[in-house]
Amino acid sequence: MKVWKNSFSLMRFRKGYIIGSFITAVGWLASQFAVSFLIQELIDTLTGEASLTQLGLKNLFILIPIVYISVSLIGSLMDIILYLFYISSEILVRRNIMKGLLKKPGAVALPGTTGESISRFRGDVDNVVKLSYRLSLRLGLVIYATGVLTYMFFMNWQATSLIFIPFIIIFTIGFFGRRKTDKLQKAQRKATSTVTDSLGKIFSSVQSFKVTCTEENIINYFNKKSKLRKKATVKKMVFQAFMDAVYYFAISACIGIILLIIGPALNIGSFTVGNLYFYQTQLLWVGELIWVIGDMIPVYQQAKVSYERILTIIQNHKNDVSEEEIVKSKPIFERDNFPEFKPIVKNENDYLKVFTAKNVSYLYPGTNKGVTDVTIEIPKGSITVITGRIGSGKTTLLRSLLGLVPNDSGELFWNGKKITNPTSMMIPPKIAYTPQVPYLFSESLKDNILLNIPKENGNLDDAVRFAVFEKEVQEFSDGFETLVGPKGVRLSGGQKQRLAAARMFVRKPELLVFDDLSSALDVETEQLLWKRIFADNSNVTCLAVSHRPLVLRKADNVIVMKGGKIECQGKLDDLLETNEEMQKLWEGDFTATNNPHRLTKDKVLD
Amino acid sequence: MSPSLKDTLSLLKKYLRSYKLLVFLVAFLLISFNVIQIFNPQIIRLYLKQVSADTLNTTALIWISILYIGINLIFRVLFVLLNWASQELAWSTTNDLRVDLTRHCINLDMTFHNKQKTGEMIERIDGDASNLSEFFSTFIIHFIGNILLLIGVLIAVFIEGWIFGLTFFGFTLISLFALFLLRKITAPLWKKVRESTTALYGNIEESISGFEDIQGSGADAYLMKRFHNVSQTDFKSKNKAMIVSRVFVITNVLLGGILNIGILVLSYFLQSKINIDAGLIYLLLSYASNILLPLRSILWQIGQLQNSLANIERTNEWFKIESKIKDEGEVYFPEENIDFVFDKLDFGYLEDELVLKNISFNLEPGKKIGVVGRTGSGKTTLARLIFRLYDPQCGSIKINGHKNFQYPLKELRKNIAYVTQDVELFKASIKDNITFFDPNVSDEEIIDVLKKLGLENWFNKLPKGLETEIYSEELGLSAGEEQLLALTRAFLKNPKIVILDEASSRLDPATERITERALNNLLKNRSAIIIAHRLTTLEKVDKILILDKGEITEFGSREELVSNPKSHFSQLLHHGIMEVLQ
Repeated sequence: MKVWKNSFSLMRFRKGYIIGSFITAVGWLASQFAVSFLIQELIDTLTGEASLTQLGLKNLFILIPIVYISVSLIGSLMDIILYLFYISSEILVRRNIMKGLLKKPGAVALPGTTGESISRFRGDVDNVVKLSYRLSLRLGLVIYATGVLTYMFFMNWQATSLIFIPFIIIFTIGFFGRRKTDKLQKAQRKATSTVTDSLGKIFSSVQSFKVTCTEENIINYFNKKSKLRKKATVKKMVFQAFMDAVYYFAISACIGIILLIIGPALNIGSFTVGNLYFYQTQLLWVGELIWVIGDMIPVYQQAKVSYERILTIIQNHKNDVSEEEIVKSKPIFERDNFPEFKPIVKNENDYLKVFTAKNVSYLYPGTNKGVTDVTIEIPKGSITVITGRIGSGKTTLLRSLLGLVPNDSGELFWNGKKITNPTSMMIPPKIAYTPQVPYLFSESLKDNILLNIPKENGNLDDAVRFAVFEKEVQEFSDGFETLVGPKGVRLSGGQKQRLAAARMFVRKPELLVFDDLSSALDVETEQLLWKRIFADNSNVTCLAVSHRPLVLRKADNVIVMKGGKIECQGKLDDLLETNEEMQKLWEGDFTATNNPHRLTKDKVLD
Repeated sequence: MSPSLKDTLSLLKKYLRSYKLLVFLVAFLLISFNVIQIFNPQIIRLYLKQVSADTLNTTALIWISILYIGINLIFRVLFVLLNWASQELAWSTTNDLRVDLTRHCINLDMTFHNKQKTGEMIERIDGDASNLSEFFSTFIIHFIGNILLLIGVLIAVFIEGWIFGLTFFGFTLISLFALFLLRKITAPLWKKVRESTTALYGNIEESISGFEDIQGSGADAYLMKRFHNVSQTDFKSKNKAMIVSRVFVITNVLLGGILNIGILVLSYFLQSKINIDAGLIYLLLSYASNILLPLRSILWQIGQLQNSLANIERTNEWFKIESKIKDEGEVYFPEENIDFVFDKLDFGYLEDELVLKNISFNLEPGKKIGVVGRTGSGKTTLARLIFRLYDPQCGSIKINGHKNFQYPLKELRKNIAYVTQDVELFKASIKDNITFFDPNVSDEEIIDVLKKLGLENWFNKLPKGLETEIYSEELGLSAGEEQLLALTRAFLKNPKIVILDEASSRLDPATERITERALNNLLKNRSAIIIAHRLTTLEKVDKILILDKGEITEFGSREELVSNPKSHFSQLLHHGIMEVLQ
């Protein structure tokens, strides 16, 4: 992990701020120096000692206010510039994490829960940026400290030599404390993640806890996790305070010894009280500066841990994402607006002739669940239906064809041409997807359907008509502008699914992919949806998971999944004759719908 | 006293009460810490007196140096102890606050939760409390400590001479007054920053939850636009707050300068009248920087306090929200023979948009009713009203003659099992997922239920049995398996009423058959409301209710409806059949 290198490249992201903060830092420190120096002169003049510069009281009384004003103005300017660097870098790192996650197959993008991932965006981003932020300030401090030490060395070399003692002590402590800090830091961040994670659990499932009367259980669970975090945090903080205390004590010890050494010089007047004042303030300054430089060790540790934690969530299955991605310079639009969306343009290669998957396999990590060795061919204008029982791998199959999971092996071909990166290539206008449980953003219906399609380019009316959603849209008080609320709470399950279908239609993909529509749609609505698709364009290409007889009948190719493998594929009638699994699945539905049929008939016959 | 300050104090009092010993310890350490800080410059003065004497007393010089080092050692030891005690205090109290706020929020009704994004909830409960934790700990160390230090320094300076004392005192007053005025300008700005940051995390949470959909739609740009929009707002509000609050710092440093010069000018003019030696000037200058430090800290703390007050205001805002669902019932469920009456019920999530209109029907003990309707017709809403996730605007639901709000919420919800189309599962063990983190349920009970549901084979394949963690490397689940776990939960509860809301919608026909027997077990002798769009699920119900746009369009016994070819229900059945015959 090249933590320093990354920190410097983050500093290059806003070079202007860094240079500005460096210049102001030097100016600020120089004026601090001038303050102490001028007061030294003033004390000496007042006490009648020979002052170094012979400036005279009048001049001193004019000069001192001037330097005070410059200390405060330059200091504030420095703070503002540094803060600007800080908040713009924050956006950059967050943006890079977001982009990194988007490059990963969507269904497996997050290794942990959302709560855990959010803690990457919060604390870890802070730690990463802090290192670069402090580096820039510290650089100014180092220059200042060197300058002051040199000056003091010429004033009194014995006393000044003693200042190097804390230097040695701090690096010794830092060296031994390093491992410990690292460990405590990691433990604390982990404990924090579990706390945010359990809060996430609680509030994303609050209805379930209410319905099952288990509110107290989850609160106890949360309480337990909070206590563990407290322990980890207190341990970390006390250790840091201990390291601080050792260091500051070392400085005090130095001052004590200096007092002893310069006593005789003060006594005979070769060292003035003004000098002592100057010396003491500078020693505290230099001491403080050395310490904050030493403080870089824990900051470095934290940053290192955070770089690692961020990398783990943006790392892909090929392990070829480097941590440089985290700090890569990109526009962050902190003042200008984000560029307008571009319409989706279908080029020649996008038009579907045939889509092929050869020997595709994907197993969820560490399990034997998933799909194995799937080969499918979908020609233009065909309807392919996947069916099978629970856990047979239907959804996973769709995901592996759409690049939403990283396939372990096998290849995808679009018109015979190999698709090298399915995640970024299996998207509209080639292909689009209606998932079983769609996710909606707390925006308007229109925004949720269009997403990145420019308003003038999307035919919303057509899309919602295909999705059998047009009547309900009209009935909403604000039509397309109706807000759906967080996670789309204002919509029912079926409405959400049809909104997702509209989202797919508006992109006009070559290949339409539906996960099981019947899970949230009633019979009539679903039938209408299929009818509209088939009626409007006989040349439509479809891939769907379904158990509906209507759809199975209409299919050019039925694929029966069992245990993650293709059990058989072909026309429905052929499969019903030859395949036992297909027969079982068919009977499940057929007999069930047949029962009422028979009942009605009996009644009618009576 | 402003209401927010009053709220702050009462909050402090409430949460510090359980930690009296710790509070006293912190106070004791704090006082000792400050006494040493005031005492320290006196040693230097003593030293200067010694070195300016005509003959140098080496022994005294050595002792003074040792004293200086010794006192600093004690000072640092106190520093570590103080850190420990205040951290302990800060985290204990804010943890209590987090738990209390979480409990309060969970118990709020769904109209509250529907407005919140999970990411924002995390930020407001954990983020705000963490900011307060800094407030609880640094406020105690610095703010109170600094005020004590300020008073200590003033006393020490008064001892040196009233004219110096007055100068220092005047300086302190002017500084505090200036700061107080500035406070008002910056406080709202920092509150805005908190809001924009909260919105940012809410946005991030939404974004990462929607990755699969975004990717499938190739809509990365949409997500990035949303992200950059909230980031820009956050950036601008932070930038503004920072620049304005710098006025604080500038004022502070200038004030420091004024005091230093004031002392020196005073010394210059008083030199002829009273004996002012170098030691005294030195001492006063030390105290000037000593008084500057706490003032600077107080200044900074006031900034923090503003943040904290904003946090406390936000926290209290939530504490003050009361659940619209009042839990005041006192009636208990009978053992059996439970009947339901829906009486002219009206309900809408928004006042003017009724989702259910004039719903009246009844369900006799042990009978089952099937609810059919298009999506969005209000079926799920009907279920939510029964166990009071919401209360109706008009009309009521009566259970055995008592309105549902006459039962305690716990009693009501304990006796009704609800299985929905969306199953909530956590990255935790199978056991925790089934019991909802209830440690009192034994493994045997769970396994027994799994067996009844026909899940024995599936269970036996789990690598660590009930302790297997789901959504981890150990086990992923398909949508259908999730549904089965939800059924297991319902069984475990041994409910008196069962509401199935599209419970089997994601099961394929073959798997559905496996669970059918178990489902029949669950429904046996129990009143049930079965919401379905798949008609096969409704073979065994006694009554059928058809909802359309929130109104009942058909209600009657299943047999009657089936035998009447004009009924909507029988037409629906024919649809199903047509489907097969096509």
